[in-house]
Amino acid sequence: MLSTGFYTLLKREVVRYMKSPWMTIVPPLINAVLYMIIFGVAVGPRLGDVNGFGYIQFMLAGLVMMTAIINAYNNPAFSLFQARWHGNIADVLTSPMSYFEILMANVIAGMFRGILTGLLILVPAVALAGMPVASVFWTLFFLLLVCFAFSCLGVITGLWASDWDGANNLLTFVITPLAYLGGVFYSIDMVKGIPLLYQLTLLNPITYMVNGLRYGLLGMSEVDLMFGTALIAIMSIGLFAVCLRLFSTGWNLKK
Amino acid sequence: MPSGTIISFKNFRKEYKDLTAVKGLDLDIKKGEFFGLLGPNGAGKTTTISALVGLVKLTSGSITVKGHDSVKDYKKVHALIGLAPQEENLDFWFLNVREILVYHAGYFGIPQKEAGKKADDLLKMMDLWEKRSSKVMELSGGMKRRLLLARAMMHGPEIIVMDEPTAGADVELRRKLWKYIKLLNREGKTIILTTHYLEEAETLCDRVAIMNKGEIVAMGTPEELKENTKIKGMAAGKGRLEDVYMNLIREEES
Ligand SMILES: Nc1ncnc2c1ncn2[C@@H]1O[C@H](COP(=O)(O)OP(=O)(O)OP(=O)(O)O)[C@@H](O)[C@H]1O
Ligand SMILES: [Mg+2]
Repeated sequence: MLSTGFYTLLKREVVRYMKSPWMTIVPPLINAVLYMIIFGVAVGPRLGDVNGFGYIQFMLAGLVMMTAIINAYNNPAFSLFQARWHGNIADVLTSPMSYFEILMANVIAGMFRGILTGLLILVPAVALAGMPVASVFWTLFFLLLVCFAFSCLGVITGLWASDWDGANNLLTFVITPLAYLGGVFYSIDMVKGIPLLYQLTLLNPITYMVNGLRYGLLGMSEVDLMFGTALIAIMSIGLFAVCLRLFSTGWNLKK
Repeated sequence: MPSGTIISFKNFRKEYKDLTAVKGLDLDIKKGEFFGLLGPNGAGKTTTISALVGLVKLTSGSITVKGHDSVKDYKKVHALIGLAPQEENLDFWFLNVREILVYHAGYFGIPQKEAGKKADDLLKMMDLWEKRSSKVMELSGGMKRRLLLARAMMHGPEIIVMDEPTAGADVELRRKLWKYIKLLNREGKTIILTTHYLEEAETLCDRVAIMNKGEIVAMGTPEELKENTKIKGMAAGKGRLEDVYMNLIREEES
């Protein structure tokens, strides 16, 4: 797994987005800053504390997770789709790299982008705005695990998409709405009385991911932590198993 | 001189949904051989080549390279082959010409420094040195083709597979290219070539197979084919390979 081929492909997948930061790294940061200004500074103070934390701190944890999720997903989804669409995927498919190595290079590059963008929001917040970090371990644990799961989902999309819309649709119609309904901007407590929204929030796996990161940063949890962690772990394993299967059978990779 | 079998297709069959592209192909290619795969558009040449390098799933049959199964031992097989495909598929997204070669070599396990040297040699060889920092978009069609060939040779493979390498190449390049390929062949590399220029195949290839509609309809040295094919109005052995080819394809159609 630690072959020159693997490192070369990993480097390619990382350089791909590092070379155009104005398209990959900067937009999510601008989004995050805007959210913080609007919801954190303008609207937030009127909401008062959430479970003992300022709204801006509560929201920031959600925002970090949402950004990490979207970026971890986007990288393999678009990189693999582009490579299939143009045909340059043959470059790696005809090489002596194993399918496992090709898969892992894509997954790890996606995780790295997710974690990088997440930390680019989180680190300044901790350094400049006194954002607490209750546990570095749990913070990194949830970031890593969730980025792994969504990078795998990105790989699946990258193999499945047959056109540019397909690559985008899952993000626009599934992941982004789920992220918004996953307690990024509100606590479960706030929506308790609202039918449907409350149930949707509890059924939404992203709720447990956001909650996990909030536990790492703020030390608070609104749902059963064990249950949430188990759910995310099972999702990750399931998605990874699908990726392995698709790669080993050459689904949409070979004619 | 060619000796011993290096590539062996055994009853290779490929079906795409409702179309059979290759119908049970049996073919042995010898080590060091310069082998030509000829045939009209849609005959199944690219499908055959793509199956060899793992880009096409076999419907049935098997392919072995140096005794390694192309499906089970794909890593060993891939390491032995360099492919210059028919369709341009250069990794143009953000890499320049030289980087395309260096990354490609990396996938084949060659460390960056060594790959850089090899890339420089091949870029000079292929008259692409001036373009080494260019983007693929800035290359002409013929230059892209040269880059595809350079890429195929980056890891110094024993077998070089070229799918219509001279389509779109100018006369000078074509000559230069053949000189170089012949040199590689003389050094012992096995060459598989598809082309629609039959004079090219006639002068270069040790042996050719003519495919039509997914089957090999004739195979042998160009001389053998000319001897064995009766062409109306011509004495045996007197025609060109092109006459033999036209005869065979037309026969199939009638
Ligand atoms: N992905 C695919 N799906 C369905 N049919 C395909 C696919 N690829 C090739 N074919 C069909 O398989 C047959 C053989 O195609 P192939 O590309 O192997 O021909 P070829 O001999 O290389 O032709 P050419 O000289 O035009 O390059 C053709 O009928 C083609 O339409
Ligand atoms: Mg072809």
